[in-house]
Amino acid sequence: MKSSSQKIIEFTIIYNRQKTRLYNYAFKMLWDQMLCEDIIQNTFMKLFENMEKIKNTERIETWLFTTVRNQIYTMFRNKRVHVDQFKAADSDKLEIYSEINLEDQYEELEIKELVMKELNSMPVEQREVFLLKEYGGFNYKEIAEMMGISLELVKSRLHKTREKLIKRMSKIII
Amino acid sequence: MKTEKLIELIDLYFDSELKQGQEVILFTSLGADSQAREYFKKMNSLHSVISESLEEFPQTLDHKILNKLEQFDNKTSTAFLSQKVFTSITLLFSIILLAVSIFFFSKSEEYKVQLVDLTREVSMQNEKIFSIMNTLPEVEVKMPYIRMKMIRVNGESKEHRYIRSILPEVKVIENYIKIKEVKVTAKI
Repeated sequence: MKSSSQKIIEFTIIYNRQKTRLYNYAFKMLWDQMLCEDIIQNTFMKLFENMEKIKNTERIETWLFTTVRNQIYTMFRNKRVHVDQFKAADSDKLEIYSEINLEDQYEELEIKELVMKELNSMPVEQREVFLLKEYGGFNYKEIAEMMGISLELVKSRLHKTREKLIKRMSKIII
Repeated sequence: MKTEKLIELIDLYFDSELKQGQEVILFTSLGADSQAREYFKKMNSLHSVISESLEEFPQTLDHKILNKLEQFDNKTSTAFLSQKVFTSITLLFSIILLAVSIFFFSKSEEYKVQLVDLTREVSMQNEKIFSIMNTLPEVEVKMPYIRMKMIRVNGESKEHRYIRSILPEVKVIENYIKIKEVKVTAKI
């Protein structure tokens, strides 16, 4: 059995390495700071409690993202109405954005924000593949396993997401 | 190479999934395909935008997690300590139980020995009685036999009356008295 201080050191290394990526993934999936913080905190506490067990069975990185993902989906299921409303409001917003002058938009928002808004307007499944790739740094196979989908679907969803984002960006840049 | 194929390779390149051999093909083909080149540029800018969009981890959350971790660690060590005390008590109790068990076991062994001795003694006594009984000679009892004896008497004499008084079953036939003679033979 490892000593407590050794366990804390080990945890801190993992925590510092993964916290930003995990936070960004969760935040961009939920777009809710409070919920996101709760999920991240719970996940890291769970990790600390079961670190030895997890280390023996799977990659900690995958475990962290899968745990956060499960919690996000549980939240989606529990607050289905809220999510739907949120989505509807977003799509309205997007329409407004599309109609107004792009120059004005550019003044108000940076490209980054626009990209994020476009990303937020996408269906969760599509957005998730992109977030797992960009923020999680997982390869196609890992994403496919995590989401329980085929490798080809991962590639296709990624491509579609990127196409949409590029399209959105092109309107501003060019 | 077709533009679609090149776009696919560009995707793979930005996802770090492109094989080494394909990388050379991609960059050679990019020079000849303006559409793919344009896609590459856009992908590059998207990639940098995404990299810039990385939000910093909130400090408040950082403190919250580390504080909770400290609390959790303290709780765990307290739990570990109480677990240690519990283990010690259990161990002590087990030792006491073991001692009591050994004591009762030795006692039962003693009783067992005593019981065996007593059983042996009883069986010896039994054998002794049996052998004493067997030392006596064998007794054989035979069936009694009855024989009638005739005694001659002269009329109703004194003797005749006397005999009749002590032996009622005696019958006088003429001048003879019939006496039932009983003989028992026994063999020891």
